[in-house]
Amino acid sequence: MDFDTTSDFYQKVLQRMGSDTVLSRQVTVNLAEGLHVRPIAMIVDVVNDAGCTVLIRFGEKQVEANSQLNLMLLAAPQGSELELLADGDGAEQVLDHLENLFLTNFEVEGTTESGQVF
Amino acid sequence: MLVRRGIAVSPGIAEGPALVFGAEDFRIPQRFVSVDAIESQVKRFRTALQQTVDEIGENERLANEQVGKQYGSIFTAHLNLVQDPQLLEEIEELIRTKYYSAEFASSRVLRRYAKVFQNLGDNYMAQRAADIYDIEKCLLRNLLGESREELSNIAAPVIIVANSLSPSETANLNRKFVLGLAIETGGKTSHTAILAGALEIPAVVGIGNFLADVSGGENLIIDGDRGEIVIDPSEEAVHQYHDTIERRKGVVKRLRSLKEVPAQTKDGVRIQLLGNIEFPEEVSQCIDRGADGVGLYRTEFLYLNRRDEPSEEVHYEAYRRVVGAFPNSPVIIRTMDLGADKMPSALTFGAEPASNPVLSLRSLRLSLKNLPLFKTQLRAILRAATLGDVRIMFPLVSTMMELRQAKMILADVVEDLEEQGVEFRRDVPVGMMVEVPSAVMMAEEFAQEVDFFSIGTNDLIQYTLAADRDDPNVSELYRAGDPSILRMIQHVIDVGKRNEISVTVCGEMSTDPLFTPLLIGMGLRQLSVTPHMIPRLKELIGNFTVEEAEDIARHVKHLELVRTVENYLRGELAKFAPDMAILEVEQA
Repeated sequence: MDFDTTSDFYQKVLQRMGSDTVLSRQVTVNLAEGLHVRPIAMIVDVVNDAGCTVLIRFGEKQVEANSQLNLMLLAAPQGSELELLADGDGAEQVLDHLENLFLTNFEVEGTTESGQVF
Repeated sequence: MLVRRGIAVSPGIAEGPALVFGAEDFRIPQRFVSVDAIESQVKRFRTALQQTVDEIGENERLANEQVGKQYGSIFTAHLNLVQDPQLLEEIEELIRTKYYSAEFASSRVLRRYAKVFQNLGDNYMAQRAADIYDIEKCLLRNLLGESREELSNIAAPVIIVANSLSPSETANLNRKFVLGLAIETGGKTSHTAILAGALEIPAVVGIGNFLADVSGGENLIIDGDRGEIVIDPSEEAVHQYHDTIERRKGVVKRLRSLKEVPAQTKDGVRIQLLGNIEFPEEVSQCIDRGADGVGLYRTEFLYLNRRDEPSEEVHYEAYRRVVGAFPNSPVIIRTMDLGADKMPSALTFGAEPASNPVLSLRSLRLSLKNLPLFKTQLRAILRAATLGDVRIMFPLVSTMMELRQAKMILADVVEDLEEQGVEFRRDVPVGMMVEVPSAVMMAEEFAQEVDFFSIGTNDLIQYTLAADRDDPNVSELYRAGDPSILRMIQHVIDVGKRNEISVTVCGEMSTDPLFTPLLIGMGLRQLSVTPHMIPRLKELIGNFTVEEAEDIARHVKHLELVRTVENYLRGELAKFAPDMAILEVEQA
């Protein structure tokens, strides 16, 4: 795979977050198609609004949650266990918000009666 | 050397280096840039990015509005992708450290990610590669679109090679440096083709996919007479073309000397040669070639390429430019001749899409259904009429009722202008296009109500022979020389003569030298033609007498097959046209 979770970029982000103040949550992907484009768009929206740094860790991979691209590249299937990490002002709230999205299954399954998943 | 054929839409031959503009899957013109161009490339990238963001945002808004939020969120995801911080960083990094052009860097990074998705193994995610390609396309279009604006800034002679060229792009071309146009798409009547003809830039359109065969800077010959382009021509071919170019120059010089000479037959009968124009700029071409006026001023361009209705001032300004340049010659302004399918939707007030557009709401019918639109145009025409010899012509008249309605509205407009104390001309002659068989049948009655007829052969042929010339299955039927068409024209000419009103032919047929002697022999004394053909037709007309022309018409009268008509006329033309070889090439 072409992107590297041990790259300088991620190390820098981790450093910036400072390990002792980082808050963390465990969530489970409960979406038939896995963590796909639409829920990711919702996550990115929440993160961009919050203005603090959020990382999502899936197994070995760890990406910044303001990146639609990288979240898509996580390719987290149904049932995946993800760890949400946040640091900075409003970290608590943003994690609450994100956790809620996962718990309510992003309210996407209900709106896709046609069976279409975006 | 590779020869490709297309449709010849603007005559002339040119040789020069190709300037390639990309097709839908964009060809990247330049992969690397010099160090000092880095900042401008980054800037270009950011501008294109912002345009892409705006475009996707607009799509998102539309989708949310029209089909619901769950569809709109597709674009939300696209928006997130295109603004993805990592993506942007990587693209800018490539520009800065590897001197990639903005296009090349964007394409490289996006395609790399698309591949990653394709290899994810997850079927759903693999399909997301398509989203990435979509974004790449959008970004490249904005990048290349931006460079396309530089079309008007070309500073060295080139032949433009493109998948398509919009009318406004064509209009902005610098004639000094653009030697020719070779376009993959388009047809004879596309606005780009008409415009290229107006600008007198040799052009070949409808060539089909060939962009992949040409690289930027490669030598190219464009033959706008035969509808051919030669990619990387052999020395011999170049030689041959230069010969032809020289020969043409000789002919052009001779023809130019005819400017001041009036068009008249060998025995001194004066023939009026008027110009067909679409844009005000073309007036100068009519004047340069000694036209007797403007026989057909198409006003459709005023309505196209805009979302709203053109204001009275927009109309007036255009007409003023034409009439002002030709104050002592007739200028026949034809009212709007568009179909509902070509009109901006705001102006068709929700007309249902027609299953058969040419038999539907178009032209005068559309004007009569949209009176504010129609009146605006009529007001501007009447006002501009104070500047010269303006005449109004209604297109596509098919019943007496329509003509009377149109004239009544014109009378309303006269009244309005009078009441408002606006300066205008009251006694503007009113004429009609004869282009529907019903109008031919009723010509005698129509002649009592109008000041002139203008036969529009393009529509008359299609309505009479019930054949669409763009449909290859039946285009063979679409022939100006068909005896049925000739008889209709004869009838209209005769009716005009009896009622002492003037008759012009303004379709493509009148520009075709093949028919010139015949039409004059049939009694026609006025032709409205493509301006660049005026000198050639002048010369041709001077080479035969009316009597000779009448002999031709008498002979043709008895022919039953279009093929026999055409063959006979070809033989006759050869007698009168000294540069038959060259003329023939032009008509091929």
